[in-house]
Amino acid sequence: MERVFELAGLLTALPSVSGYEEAAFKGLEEICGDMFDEAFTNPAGSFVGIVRCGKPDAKALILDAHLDEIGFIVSQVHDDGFLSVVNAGGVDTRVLPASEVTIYGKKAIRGIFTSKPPHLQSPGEADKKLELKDIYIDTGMSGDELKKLVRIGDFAEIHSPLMRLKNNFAVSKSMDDKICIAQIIRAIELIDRDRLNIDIYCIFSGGEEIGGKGAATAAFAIDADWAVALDVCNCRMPEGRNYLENIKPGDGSVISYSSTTGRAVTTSLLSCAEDSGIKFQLRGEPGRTGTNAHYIQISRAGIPCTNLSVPLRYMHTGVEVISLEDVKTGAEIIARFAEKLGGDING
Amino acid sequence: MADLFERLCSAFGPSSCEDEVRNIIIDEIKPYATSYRTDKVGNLIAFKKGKKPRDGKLLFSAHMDEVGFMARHIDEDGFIYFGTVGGIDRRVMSGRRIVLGENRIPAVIAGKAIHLQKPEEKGVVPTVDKLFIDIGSVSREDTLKYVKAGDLAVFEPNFERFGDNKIKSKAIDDRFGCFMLCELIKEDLEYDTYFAFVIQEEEGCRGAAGVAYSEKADQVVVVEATTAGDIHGAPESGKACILGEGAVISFMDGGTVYSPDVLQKLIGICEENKIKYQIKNLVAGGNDAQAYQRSYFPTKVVAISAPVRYIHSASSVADERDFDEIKKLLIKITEQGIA
Amino acid sequence: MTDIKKYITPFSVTGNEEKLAAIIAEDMKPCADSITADPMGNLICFKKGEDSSKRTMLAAHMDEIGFVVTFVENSGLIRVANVGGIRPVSSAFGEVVFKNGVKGVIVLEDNLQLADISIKKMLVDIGAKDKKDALKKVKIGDYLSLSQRVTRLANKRYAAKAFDDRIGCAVLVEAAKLATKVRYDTYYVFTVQEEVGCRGSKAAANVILPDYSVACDVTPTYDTAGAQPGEVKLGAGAAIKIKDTSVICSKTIVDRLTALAEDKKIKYQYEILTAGGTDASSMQTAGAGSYAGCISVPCRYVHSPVEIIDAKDLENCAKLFAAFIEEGV
Repeated sequence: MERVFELAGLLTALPSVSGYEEAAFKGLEEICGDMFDEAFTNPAGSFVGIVRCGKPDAKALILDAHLDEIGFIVSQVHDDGFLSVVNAGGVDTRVLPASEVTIYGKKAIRGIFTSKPPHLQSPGEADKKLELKDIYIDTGMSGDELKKLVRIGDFAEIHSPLMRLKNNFAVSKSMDDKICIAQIIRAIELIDRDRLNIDIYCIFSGGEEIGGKGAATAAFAIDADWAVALDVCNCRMPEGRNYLENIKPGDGSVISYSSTTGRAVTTSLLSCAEDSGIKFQLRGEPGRTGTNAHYIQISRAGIPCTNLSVPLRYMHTGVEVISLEDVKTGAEIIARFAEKLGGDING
Repeated sequence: MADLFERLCSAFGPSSCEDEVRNIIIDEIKPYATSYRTDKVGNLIAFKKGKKPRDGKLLFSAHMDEVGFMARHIDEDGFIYFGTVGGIDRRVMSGRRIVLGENRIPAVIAGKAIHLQKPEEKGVVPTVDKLFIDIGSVSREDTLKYVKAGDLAVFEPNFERFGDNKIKSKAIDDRFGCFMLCELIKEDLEYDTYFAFVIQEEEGCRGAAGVAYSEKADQVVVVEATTAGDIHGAPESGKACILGEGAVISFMDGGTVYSPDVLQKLIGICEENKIKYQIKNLVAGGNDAQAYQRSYFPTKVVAISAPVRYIHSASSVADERDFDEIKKLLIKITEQGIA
Repeated sequence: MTDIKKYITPFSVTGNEEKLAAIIAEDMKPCADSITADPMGNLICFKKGEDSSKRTMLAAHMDEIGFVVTFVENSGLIRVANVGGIRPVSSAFGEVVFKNGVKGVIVLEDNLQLADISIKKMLVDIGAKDKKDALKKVKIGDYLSLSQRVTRLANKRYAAKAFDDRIGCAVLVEAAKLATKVRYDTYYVFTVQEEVGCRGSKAAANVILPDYSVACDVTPTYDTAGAQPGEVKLGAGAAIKIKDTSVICSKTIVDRLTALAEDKKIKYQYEILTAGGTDASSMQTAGAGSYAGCISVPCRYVHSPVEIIDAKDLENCAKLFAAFIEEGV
């Protein structure tokens, strides 16, 4: 659990807005580079680390978690020291006014999203939809000074570092999906290498929030026999959806059946968790999973792919809440599954 | 034993769970196909040697999956809330019988009875999240003995011949295509020909994408079922296509712009051989042709469809006379190709 | 600059790009080692580079938006569907031409309110007496487009329909001619079916599997009345794309194009497009992925019959492309 918390802190601190994941490659290498036999990066922002089992003609498993996080791209640098931005990925504008951001120009600088004071608002404005084009980032600098540091196309992200809550819950920006990178790293650490019969390709993929680009391209380069896409999922909360009522943080990672992924591999993962006595939750996701499983499943001639999720509250905000316990037990499921593939499970 | 088309239509095969359909097809084509294989994700690909080798590779493709339902959430009373697999009009769900899960449990989809509806709800079809599946359970615990989240369901098999040459069944889309391909495999073909029975079309042409990659065909003919709007009261311009008027050829749909040359060639074949055909007058929908056309090995593609009323419902309706015309056209295509 | 009219006059509604392809193929002959067409109709011109360890794909789309015949009424009036993103208001009461040369005008159902104008309420009148007469001249599935009319405005600015993206094709051909050397193995691809979702470029990129790729397309400007806030202006130079709804361009390409423009003193600006996509998206995600970007021609009133471009921008775009062809990344 402490290891997962430590990893979460290191990973959520990496700047990796969709389309700009290169900025995180060096940090990622430092955090987990040692555990891989080989590694490479690709043009779509993915970092791929390979764990070899050392056996001839070994089959291959992809473990995917996305490196990118939602964020902002500077679209205008105004003369008065304010910035206009557009979104990279699905930004929830409701949580932005008066929130903190970091802008990655020539150096990292602090900014605050503007919040229009009540006396400037027209009657009823608070009830209207808030659009990103109507709020600005205040950098506190003069326009001249700002233009030396920031240009159109530079990226910015929410500033909201990791914090521990009660009951081994934790909160941070970009738990979506750094917490699943932590889960993969932890799973690799837990694997008994002597029992491993397959090669594992860990894809820390770019561009998930903008259409699965990093996973699709990295999976194409690999051509695996199975894949598990790890991501976060919404769960029970006030005013939530009825079908999420029984999905709760702390009750384990979530295994999803979907009509868009591999049913047999999903059943294998589920049986593995049951046989190992590790707690998990089960979910039916009739259509698209909204994860990289969607893209990996149709890579090349098709790769049987399933989806394991960490339940998360308040997705796409700076206060994404998860249970460290779920990350830990999910990592155990992945470790046991990897050990069985190519042996007990071989279809 | 029921005939092949009936068995195919009645089989359980929502997207991602096509095994039962695939097994029926394998049993059927085994004596006739030169070879066949099932790929990693479940597509079935068969090869039939012809009298002669062919210049370039011709592949016929049909999808095995059908639209259906997936269990999402079981409430305290044991009712099962669900989502749709593939696109199902919410107006055709409530009050239908279904079969659910690996044990094919009989069940019904239901909502609030008319007496309990508020005035503004009367006559208005509820949204999917207000509907639920009832298996006759007495509690959540009871339901969980039989059903888990992620279990799949399809409309109850109800194959029946009626009217003038009409067939009513669930899943004519695209067991019709599977049936046609089986029929072709049984024929003595002039040239080498390939056949793909693919998965997950209803969820965005996902199986075909893999076959496109692995088979590297030069020409692909997608055999499909397509929406017919020839019902009482429909304007001529809105019928899309008409039952009994023969093979449906599209110039463009939501996923593919078909090459004018290919269409010209097909129309030529139909006219020369007096095969009844119609040009669909609606630009909508899409099929596996889009996956083949833009794969890693771009191909010439065409879709040939049977007109089907009430497609994606429990009771879709087709006309067997169209099947005969389509079969004639497909046989000619095995001889002449599409480009 | 290459004769603009030559490229924007041919009929090339999505799926019917062969006429323009033939013109481009002729013009590209001196700049290519081989010229081929793939099964979709993409025109692929290959030029071997000094360094064959890398492949570059440059793409501009040949297709234009238009209409296709879906039904002929008893009156002889013709129902159509749109091919690509037609703006109904800008097409109403326009003159059209069918692929086979038949001419017509777009009319609306009577008594329509402005807000109700839609493709479904449009008909094409070709002067036919009745259905039978009409079907002698056109048939279901025939394609048509608005008639072309090029108007020269002040300041070497031009108005015409469908500069998008035939003008990009012209820029790419011009760049191929301007380039004095070719760094990497280079594929000039004139794509089909962009207007219905970047389909041609997907197929082409999936075969070429480039390492680097740059698209050439048009981009709307923000200097028009009522425009959203934004930076791109007509006449302000080649627009280096940062982002649109289909792609966030690779920083590698954005930075490289910027450096080349600074170095060669080519006038440039940055583009962020909040509605619309281009072929760069398909190239970025083809196979194992490529570093992808886009150089855009600023264009006012995109997808109207009076799109406006500035000839000076074309020159800057061509020069920037040529620099990229010569020097690579």
